[in-house]
Amino acid sequence: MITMLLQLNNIFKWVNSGGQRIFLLKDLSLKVEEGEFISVMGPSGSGKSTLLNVIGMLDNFDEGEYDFLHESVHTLKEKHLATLYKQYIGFVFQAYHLIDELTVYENLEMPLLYKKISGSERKALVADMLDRFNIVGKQKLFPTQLSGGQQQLVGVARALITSPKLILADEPTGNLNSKQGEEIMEIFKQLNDEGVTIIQATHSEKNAAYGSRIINLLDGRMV
Amino acid sequence: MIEIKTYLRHLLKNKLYTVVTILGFVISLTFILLLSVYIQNELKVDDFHVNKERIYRLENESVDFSPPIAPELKNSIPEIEDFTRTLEGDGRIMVSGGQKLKIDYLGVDASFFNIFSFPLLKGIPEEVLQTANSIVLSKSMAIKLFGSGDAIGKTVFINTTNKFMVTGIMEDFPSNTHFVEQDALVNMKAFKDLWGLQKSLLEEYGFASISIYFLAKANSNLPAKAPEILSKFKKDYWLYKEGWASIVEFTPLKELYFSSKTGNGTQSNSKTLIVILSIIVLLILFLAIGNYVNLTIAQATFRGKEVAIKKLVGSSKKQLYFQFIRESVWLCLTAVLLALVLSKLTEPIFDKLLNTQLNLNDKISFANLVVCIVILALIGVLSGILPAIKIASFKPIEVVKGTFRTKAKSVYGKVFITFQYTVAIALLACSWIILKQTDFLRNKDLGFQKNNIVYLEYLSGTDKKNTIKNALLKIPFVQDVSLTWQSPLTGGSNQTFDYNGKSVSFQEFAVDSSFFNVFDIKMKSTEVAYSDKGVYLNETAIKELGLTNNPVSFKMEDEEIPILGVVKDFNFKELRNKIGPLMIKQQQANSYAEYVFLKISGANTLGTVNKIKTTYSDLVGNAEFELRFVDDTINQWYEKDERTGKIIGSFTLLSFIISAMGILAMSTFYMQQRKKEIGIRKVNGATIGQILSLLNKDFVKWVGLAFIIAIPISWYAMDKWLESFAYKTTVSWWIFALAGITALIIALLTVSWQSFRAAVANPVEALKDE
Repeated sequence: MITMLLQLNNIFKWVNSGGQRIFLLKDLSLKVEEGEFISVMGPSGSGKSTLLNVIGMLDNFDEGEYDFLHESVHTLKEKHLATLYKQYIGFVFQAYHLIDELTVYENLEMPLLYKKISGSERKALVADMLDRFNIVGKQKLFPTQLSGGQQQLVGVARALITSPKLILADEPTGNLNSKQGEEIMEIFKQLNDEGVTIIQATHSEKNAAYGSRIINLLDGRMV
Repeated sequence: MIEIKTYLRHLLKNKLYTVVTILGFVISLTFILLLSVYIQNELKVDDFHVNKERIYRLENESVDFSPPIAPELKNSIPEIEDFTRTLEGDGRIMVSGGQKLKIDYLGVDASFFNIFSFPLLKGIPEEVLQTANSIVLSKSMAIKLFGSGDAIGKTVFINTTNKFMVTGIMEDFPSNTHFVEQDALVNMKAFKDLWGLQKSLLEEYGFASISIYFLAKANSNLPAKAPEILSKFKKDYWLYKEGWASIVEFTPLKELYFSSKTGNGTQSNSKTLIVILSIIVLLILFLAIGNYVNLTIAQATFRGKEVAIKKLVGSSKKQLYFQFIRESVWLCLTAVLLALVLSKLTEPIFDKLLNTQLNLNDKISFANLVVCIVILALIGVLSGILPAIKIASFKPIEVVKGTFRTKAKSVYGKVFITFQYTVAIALLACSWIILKQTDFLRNKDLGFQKNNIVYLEYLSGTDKKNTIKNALLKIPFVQDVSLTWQSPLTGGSNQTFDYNGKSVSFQEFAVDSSFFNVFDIKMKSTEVAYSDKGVYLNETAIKELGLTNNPVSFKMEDEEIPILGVVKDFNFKELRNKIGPLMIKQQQANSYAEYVFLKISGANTLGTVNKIKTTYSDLVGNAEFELRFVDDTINQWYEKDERTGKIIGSFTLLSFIISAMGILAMSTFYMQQRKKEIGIRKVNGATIGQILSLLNKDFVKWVGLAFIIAIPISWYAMDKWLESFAYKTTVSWWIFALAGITALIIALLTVSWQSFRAAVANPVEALKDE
């Protein structure tokens, strides 16, 4: 049976600039079912990142409705939102956003620390991830000692470690060369096959093709 | 011009930074300025005497010698050109038929005005004090007595009967001399009549209470003669033969003000205080510069783009250095100007705090202006150089590409914060302990009643004692009256005598029978028959004499003195001293009375006091007198300590302001650096509370370290300070704990201001790719 993961209805987001209202998202509606792999495409400034941030509950919106697993996000309090996304959503960034002062191991462990998971369980989970992404040998290294591809691998691993239902990836391969990019996309595909829902923003047709559905954005609107 | 414009805009855009840096500098500089002027003033005391290099005071363990010693030495030591002896006196002065005014005067030799350079307004220095009945009045005393009229040649009376002729008017003594301000100077010879002596005091070897100043001949070495004089004294001067003194020193004039030895009519200041204040000036300067450096570097992160673009369009590193140094010089200039204004405004408060007169207006001179500008430039350059190096080294490409990050590696910043908090915590603990000690001293049970007792100076002849006492007793609410010579407030007069072959040193009062009732002092009568000669001894005295529980008499020199009663020990001196042996004699009909103590009921105090004043005024004729409360006087004993406490308190406040600013700067810097990390952590589920504790943890660590360093320092300092008191409060652990917690709370509040902003910020902002 197919279950609905999230649903956006007529979402508007704008900023006021010089007396003018500039729309970042305009009347956007979207349904995402569990297990989908959606690629969001569009030129720079079309609202891809904004959409991902809204879905990830990092950013708010001005009008419209947003349901996530039958909870209406637009009515929820901030604290509740945090628990919601902490539990179900993982993020992957173009610039990886690993903490330079922490080792690979510690970077992976960090989200678990914020979920009150016991020490032994954390150890097991981190070990699993290191193993799964073949980076056991790099666990003691700092991000700056890794290549971009390896850093993004750690970024994906960190997003996955809390077993989210949804992974939001904003240009995950943007800073990588094509070979590294392909590796990451392969991993996403594999994850998707295991049942994780993925929404990625991308410029590349090739990467977009990995998805099961493509959404095109232009000036905050779906086209 | 463009440079100044950019800088001004930068300042305007970052109002918090601007206000904090300038204000920090202004406050610190104000303190530095005022303290420097104070220190300079204190070091220049007695600098105005023309003969300052040639004036010495003769000293032994104290500064007391017998009058004939001075001419004796002058005759035998060729290096001595001249001398003047000094002896202080006080009393009442009046013109015939006028009001009796309180007067403090100094008996000196005729050479006084030749040796010292106190300016005479009227009269010739060599002539004014030639005779026993000549008097030189201070300008303000002359005005009080004669108004604006000419005083020269007029007659004045001291203590009603002693007639003097005004021969000169002197400028009031300035505050920058080791002599206390005097209302008049008289010739030493006058004491014979003033004190009603049989022969001139000047011939009296037995009277060893005068100070002697010598004027050495030019290019001679008078101090080198000290050993020769000492061996002579040991041979034939009783003071040395009997072991009362054992050293001879010639102390140069410039050291007298900082001498701990009190002479006749002198004032002093503690050299330690000056040294401590000088250290504090340097410390504040260091803190202020450090703060500026910290704040500016913290702020510099926001100027990365400006620097990068300048570099890209071809500015050299050197040009950037100079830009930043110029900026800090400008900022310093603004701060100095504001500090000057603030100094002028706070001068009265400061004067009061240090019990001094700074006279800032007198300091405006070209030389000081030059010094000011040089120091200003120096501070400007010193504080500009580190930020300049730091900021100018930004790599422009990184900044433009958005990969630029300042590293959290500034160790000196952390060391500096720790240092600041060490200073702040140590000072806070010290000022609290000083406060606790003064409070302890004030509230300690002295063994006698101090409330509801007022006292007056006794201003009449011995024959009037009973009349005055009875008249005062008739006033409603006056419960009892006691006439005394010496009192629990004055510490008694020292009496050293031979007791069974050993020398014992007692303090001595002479009081009438109401004394014990007025002060509510417990006294146990012995069964000894009453005798005029009989005395009361305190418990310590009994112990000192080795007497039993029921003493009857003791042998003083060759005389057997009956003991009428044993007095329970009470404190009769500042609590720096332990209770010593005390002998209380009885006031006889012809004995000299010094004070009148009145026990009042406490109801209608104001009315009673006024009634006492009018009654007493009628009794002693038209004389100036003061009525004081015993408890007020006791409170004043600790004024100096309280002032030290207040000074340290002000510095505590200052150091806290500075350290709060420092930690604010550091936290701004730190949050800026960790913005991205905070964003990542939040996206990964960290709560605001978790972020706050993460960010604040480091600062807590530094303050904690400061606390650990500060405890032993302040504990040691306070332990040393308390050593000078016989009665000490306990140095409780909770004072240190409280000081530490206070510092921690202040630090946390300051840091949280920044960290909270960082923690609640939307992580999207931080993670946006530039």
